[in-house]
Amino acid sequence: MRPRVLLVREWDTQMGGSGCCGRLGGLDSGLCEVDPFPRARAGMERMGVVYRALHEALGDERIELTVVDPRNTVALPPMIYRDARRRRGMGRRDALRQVRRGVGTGAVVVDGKVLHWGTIAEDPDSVVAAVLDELAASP
Amino acid sequence: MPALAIAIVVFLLYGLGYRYYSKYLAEKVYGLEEQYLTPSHEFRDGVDFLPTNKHVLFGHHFTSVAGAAPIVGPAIAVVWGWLPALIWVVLGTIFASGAHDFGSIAVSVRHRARNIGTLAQDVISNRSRTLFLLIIFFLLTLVNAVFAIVISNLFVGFPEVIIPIFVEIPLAIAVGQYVYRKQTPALVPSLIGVAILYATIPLGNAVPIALPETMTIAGLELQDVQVWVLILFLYAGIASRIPVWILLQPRDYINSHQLFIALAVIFLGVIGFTQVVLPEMTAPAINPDVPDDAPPMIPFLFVIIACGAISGFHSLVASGTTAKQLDKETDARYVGYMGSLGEGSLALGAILATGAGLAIVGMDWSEAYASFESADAGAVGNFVEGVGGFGQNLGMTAAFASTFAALVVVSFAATTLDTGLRLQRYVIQEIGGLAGITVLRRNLALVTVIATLIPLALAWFRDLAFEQLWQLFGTTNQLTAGLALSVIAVWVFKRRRNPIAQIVPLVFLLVMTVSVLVINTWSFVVEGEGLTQWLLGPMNVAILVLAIWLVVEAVLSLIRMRGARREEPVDAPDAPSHQ
Repeated sequence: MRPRVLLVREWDTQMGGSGCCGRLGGLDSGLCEVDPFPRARAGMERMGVVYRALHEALGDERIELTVVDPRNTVALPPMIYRDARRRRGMGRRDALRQVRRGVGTGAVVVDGKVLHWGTIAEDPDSVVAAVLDELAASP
Repeated sequence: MPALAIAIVVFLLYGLGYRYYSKYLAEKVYGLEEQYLTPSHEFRDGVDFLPTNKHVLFGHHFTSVAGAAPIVGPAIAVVWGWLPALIWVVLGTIFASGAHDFGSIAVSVRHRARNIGTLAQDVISNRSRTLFLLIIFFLLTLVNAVFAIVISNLFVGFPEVIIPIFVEIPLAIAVGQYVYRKQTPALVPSLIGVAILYATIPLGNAVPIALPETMTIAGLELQDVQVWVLILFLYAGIASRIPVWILLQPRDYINSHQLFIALAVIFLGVIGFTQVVLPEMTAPAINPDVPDDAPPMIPFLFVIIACGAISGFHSLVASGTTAKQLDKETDARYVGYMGSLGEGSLALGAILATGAGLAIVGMDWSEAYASFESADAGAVGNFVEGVGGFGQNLGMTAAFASTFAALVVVSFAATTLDTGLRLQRYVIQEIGGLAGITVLRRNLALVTVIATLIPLALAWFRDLAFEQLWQLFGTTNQLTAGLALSVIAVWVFKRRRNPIAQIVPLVFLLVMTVSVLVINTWSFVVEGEGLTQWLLGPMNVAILVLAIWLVVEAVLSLIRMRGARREEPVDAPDAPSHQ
């Protein structure tokens, strides 16, 4: 089982709030020539740099690299919690702490452990180094 | 019959649909290949094209397609009894929506993750792009109009919700400012936002804000619903011009929790934790006393319930967006088909709330559905009361539970409104470009006014019945689905596979939609008067023309493809590359 690295940032598909008939404000519906979400787009681009650096350094063979929207309530909190419990053997309290930190734009999570949170990392090399250190330290 | 028994049977059928029918679609119809090089790998850029874990992608996709619309249609359609509505929701979800949503992802993945509008152009004809834009124009106009009426009716019927809903606006802005400025994870602030929002419910219940039934403003005598419609469009017009991160995006964080809280209240309420007796369906399975003013069940049932059985909007999310993140082609089955089942579950919740929940709060179903007009105008109110009943089953007070349900519906519908208006601007600009009207491309203020005024007029004039607007909305939504199914059918046929899974729902939808349009054209244009004749009549005729145009394009394309298929090798235009 490959270590799972989650990068948390907003997805344009999640914009528009109400779902179904309101979810068309994203970039890729073919209806918007201009970008209605420039701020989210900037975050996507910045996290894209981190993503590419990690992918280049580790590749699909060594890690499962996934990008998640912080509003993805179905997947993100359970995934962090489960990984923290099963892959790290953390207690419930610690696992919940990881969830609290991890469900926010900019978070970098390795097998349920949050390495970075709060802002999208400006220096992708530092994220790669932190992930490599974490992978080396993991059992 | 206990509502729980119906829920269990339906979930069982959904499970069988996933297990067997989606497998048939994946293997025999769409021919998915695990080794196919998906666009997320081929064009991987770390920004738009990203191979994504299928459970994560399902979360993105499901929350993108689930919303308020699958609640309204089923809540109206139970006027014929809960069984016909349930049968259409279940069969539509399993056989129509499943094939449509899943197929939209599959065909998009094989065409560089293009969106359905571009795919229609590529797969059917160049004219289809214009057809697509016109359908979307009508769809958005009607979405904005019907959701404005839905919210206004709820404001009048449930004045207790007004304080919480207006608190939600500064609350969402505050959450957004905190999250974006402090650069902090949004989970705790947004959960606190939800808690504060629900804490205002008792305040709303204590101080309901009910406008006078009629009032005179600037010499015009207005009904309360009209005043709310004006206020809503004023709000939506402003909201659609302010940057999304100030209000729209932070409200997404609050709404993302509300969706799951509402689903939990509905389905846990059906189990009934605090009651010994399970909620029973008090609505008739088949209504023996259908109101005289109700239209014939066939074909109207199939456009009144669009979202929840099949929704063309899903093809816009599935293609172009979800398709860009699909890791393995075979994941399309899980993401697309399960997304449909999720939407069908919301529709099921609406049927159970109106069929069983109303009795818990002491409402007489036959009174609530005494006429088609009251069933239509009161549909969302009946859903709210029904969910309120389920909330009582979970230990909430009746007043709290019904205001909670109204709050959830209004939160979703209000966000639809400002997103819809925002998007309508782009569509008008694009249509202006196609028509060579440069002022529409350049003047954003003018475009905003046009995007606001058309749905405002539809919602504001009280002699236009909500039922007529909802039916028009349903027909355009079904036409969007028809366009997507045509694209998928032609693509499947081109790949020398049997397109029957698309052709059957396509023909069925088109027959029902065209029938409704023909009947309504007669009643609006010939029998109608005033605005019904002069506003809805032409709109109905225009949508009928689009429907016929769609049929012609689909048939021509299939005939053309039949000829081309004899000459081309299998899979020539989109031959799969492999990892």
